Amino acid sequence: MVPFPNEKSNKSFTIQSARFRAGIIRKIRDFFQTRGALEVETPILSHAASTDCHIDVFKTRFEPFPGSPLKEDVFLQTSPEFHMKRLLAEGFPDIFQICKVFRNGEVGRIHNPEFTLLEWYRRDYDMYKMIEETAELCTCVLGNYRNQKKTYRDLFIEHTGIDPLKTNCAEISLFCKSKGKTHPVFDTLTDALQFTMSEIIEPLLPKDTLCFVYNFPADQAVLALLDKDDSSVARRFELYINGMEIANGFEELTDPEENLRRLREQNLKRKAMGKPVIPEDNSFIESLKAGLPLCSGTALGVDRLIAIASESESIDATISFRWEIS
Amino acid sequence: MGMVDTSQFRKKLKIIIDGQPWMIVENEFVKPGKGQAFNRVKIKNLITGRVLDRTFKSGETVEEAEVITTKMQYLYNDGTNYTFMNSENYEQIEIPKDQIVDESRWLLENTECEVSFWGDRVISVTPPTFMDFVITYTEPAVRGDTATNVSKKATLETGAVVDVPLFIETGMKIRIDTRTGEYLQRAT
Repeated sequence: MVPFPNEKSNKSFTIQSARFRAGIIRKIRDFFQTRGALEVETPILSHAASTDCHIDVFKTRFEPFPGSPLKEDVFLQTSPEFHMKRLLAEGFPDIFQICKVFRNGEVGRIHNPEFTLLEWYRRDYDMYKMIEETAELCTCVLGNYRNQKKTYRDLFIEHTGIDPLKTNCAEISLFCKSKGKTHPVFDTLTDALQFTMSEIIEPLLPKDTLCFVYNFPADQAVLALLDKDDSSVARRFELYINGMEIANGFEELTDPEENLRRLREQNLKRKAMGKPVIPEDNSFIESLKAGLPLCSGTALGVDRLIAIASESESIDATISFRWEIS
Repeated sequence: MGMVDTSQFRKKLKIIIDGQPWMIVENEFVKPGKGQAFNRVKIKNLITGRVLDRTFKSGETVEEAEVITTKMQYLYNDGTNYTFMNSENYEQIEIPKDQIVDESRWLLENTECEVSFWGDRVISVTPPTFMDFVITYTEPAVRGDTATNVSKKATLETGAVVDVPLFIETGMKIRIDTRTGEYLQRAT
């Protein structure tokens, strides 16, 4: 039977796309199961959330009973990382999870406020080993793509002639203008670098290639370890494929004090931006005191990976009902 | 007119930037996983037609351009100016030819058009989508030539030149889609 045409139907998501998606999810599960990682599920709803100043969380309320005066703010996860690291700190082995995460306000060609994330952690892996495994996973899903690994600094210099570790907003601004790119006001150097990365460098990355960028400037460390020999860069990497940011990985910051400091730093930025402060996850910090082992973790956007695999430029055909029609 | 923020950006929205009216042609939400969100926007200047790429920080606001569209009847032209009359209050205005280059080829006397204004400034003249014209000249069809050509040129009473099927002859009336300039059918 031909489905009745309906404006609310997602025309791009067909039974065929559902089969394609299911096939890739199965490949991902097989990949980790054959490599000895344990699949886990962690809470989607939590008392705490990421404080990242550029990620806006969905907030809701827990009520002991309807109309109760005792209400508590709770949050939908923007990533499962805190809970997964808590499991690692409790002694869990290598773990992986495929789950829904939520980011407020993010709607676009490759954004949906609710999306599927694959996140996994490997004990005793450093960043380089984690990059290798991320490449192997992508090869398992996409087939043989070329592979390129460059440091953030080398890539930036190659395409702009500017050293990202020794520059300033004015120099970046001048460069963007020389390339005909008008840009919003840069509040910080990090904003300027990220704008250049996404508007000028990303489009120049080679096609059908796994493009790994690693050793991000320390200001963009998030929760990655700083490099032992060069504290101006962090052991963080990103994977880009065909103009899409697919994965983000860290050699994890294990020190509880430094973790707390970075969460607080983001909250200060939130205040400065006029955004609400998010409670820092004390359960997460406490668990780190028990000792998070040396480990690395990667978060990978599953909908985007499926879009790449199906040679699609948007995630529309990877999800059953986009936000607009959900 | 009110302010709009980036979340309200959509195709065809008209906004004011640096004192000029622009229309959004393309709008894309961009956000690095760990970075600031912005909108990558392609805009078209409603006066000059120039197309430009701009980026707006997520949440940034701009003024919406107040564009008013009025029904006006085309009366005549003197070669440099086209005179139109407001169908409701019979007021007349003159629009310089260079502001309606594309549309002027469809203007038959007494055609009712939609004229858009930004303040006093005319930014577009839109004739009816389907219009009938008499052909003032087209080459007679050549027998046996159907294999190579499926269409030929025809000049309309307004001077516009369009592609028509081979059986169309001088003096016939035809219907045109003025958005594309395509021949649709014979008219009576």
